[in-house]
Amino acid sequence: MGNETPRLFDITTPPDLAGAAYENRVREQARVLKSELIRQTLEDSASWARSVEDKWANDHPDLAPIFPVTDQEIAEYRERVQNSDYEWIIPAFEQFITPDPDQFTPIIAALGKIEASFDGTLDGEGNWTGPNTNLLRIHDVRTDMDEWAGAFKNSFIDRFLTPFQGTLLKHAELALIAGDQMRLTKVCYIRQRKSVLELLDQAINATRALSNGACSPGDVLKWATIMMVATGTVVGAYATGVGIVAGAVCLEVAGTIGQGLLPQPEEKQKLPLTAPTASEVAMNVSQAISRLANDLHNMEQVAANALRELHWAVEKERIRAATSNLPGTFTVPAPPLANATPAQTDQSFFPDE
Amino acid sequence: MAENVTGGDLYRLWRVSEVNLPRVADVFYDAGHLLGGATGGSTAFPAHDSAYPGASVKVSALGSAWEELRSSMLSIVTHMGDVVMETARGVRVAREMFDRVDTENGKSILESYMGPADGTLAPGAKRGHDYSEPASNPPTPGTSEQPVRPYQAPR
Repeated sequence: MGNETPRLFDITTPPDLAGAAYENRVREQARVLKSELIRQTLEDSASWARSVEDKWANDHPDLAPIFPVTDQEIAEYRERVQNSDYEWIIPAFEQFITPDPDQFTPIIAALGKIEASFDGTLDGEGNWTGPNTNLLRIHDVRTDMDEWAGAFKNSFIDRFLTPFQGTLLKHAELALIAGDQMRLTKVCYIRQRKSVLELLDQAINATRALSNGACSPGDVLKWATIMMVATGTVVGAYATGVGIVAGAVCLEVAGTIGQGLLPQPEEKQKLPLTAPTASEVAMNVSQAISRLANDLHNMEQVAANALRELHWAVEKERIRAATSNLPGTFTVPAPPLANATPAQTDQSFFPDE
Repeated sequence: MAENVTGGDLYRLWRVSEVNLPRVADVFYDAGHLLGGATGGSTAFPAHDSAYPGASVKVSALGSAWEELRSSMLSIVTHMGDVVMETARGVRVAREMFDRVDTENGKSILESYMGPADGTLAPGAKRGHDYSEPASNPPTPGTSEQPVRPYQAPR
């Protein structure tokens, strides 16, 4: 495989988005948001009640002030805001605690090991060379078999050993492609976590902005998911590709290298969080959560389809090879020597003179 | 029966079937272990998709797609490991067929060529094989080089 293969991109989960740190931060920030919304809603309603009273008093200067809402009703309203209206905030954000992107690390590591064990190069004569010393023994097999002659020796070399070496790199490539899809999926889940924390920050800011009194256009707080998924066909990313999975639509490698390269959301995809009252901010947050869940779902669908397309491509090759008993992309049949009767072996297999 | 088969010729077949091909097969079986073991599993995938429209039972489309690809890759590497072992078996059968007991010392021509495993060598005799060199001998059971067919790992 050539150097142009973009095999390594950073998939380390940033420490603030990993494990307990992220989990605690989500719960902590969700609690802050909830208490801010409660505080602000009560403030909003108090301010609204005051303004109604003022207006009424201004319109009726000759009448005594009235308080149509009883103290008990006010207490009940406050009770409801404090204990019921915003109870959804914390569970709504807790749903984004799973999955942990690091749960994909073992799969990625396993695929990386498989890729490394088959990786190497084919020289002009079709001989495989690579770092795996156990696979290199294939050359010792050829040397030893070269001391023998006959039809069974020839078919051993031509129908087994030579095509066998040709399949090795394809195993490496398949593991690489599957591994890249896993790495990209992990990156998407990392982004999801980043989106969640950003949403919490912005929602808290939007709520606090209400009590700061300033709600000028410059203060408009927006938020967008950064889950957007780039897709492309495998052929673009894998210039040395074996061609079998060239048509599969996969997560694009090129668009997502490194955690620094989070895509910049376009303005129209951003959702405003700012609103005149805390209840409306809460509504905006609820919409943003739904957008985030949707984007996450879309990403999972794309990733799942990519894996399915790979699976179909691989199965097609495997079945074609299995039913034709000919060397295929990933498999080769055993040489005729493996099934020869003693009489056949005696006739067509003998030491080279 | 070919009468001109020497101990050296048989020794080469012995190396192919007992020393080298099992180590090649091991690479494929090891890949199968990596795929089939817990590390290749799908517990990482979050279940977000309804099992049917409106269902409260959730499944993971991503997880099931990975299981499909994984089982395909697993069957391919296991199959290739089996093919290599089958090839080794064919070479072994051929070697055993050609090998014959030399009536003079009661040993087969391959045994005579390789020399006794316990190190007792008749004076003047030549040893064709070093039993103490691990890399030149069949993979030791229990080491990482021994080809072991992937088990059905608990999921």
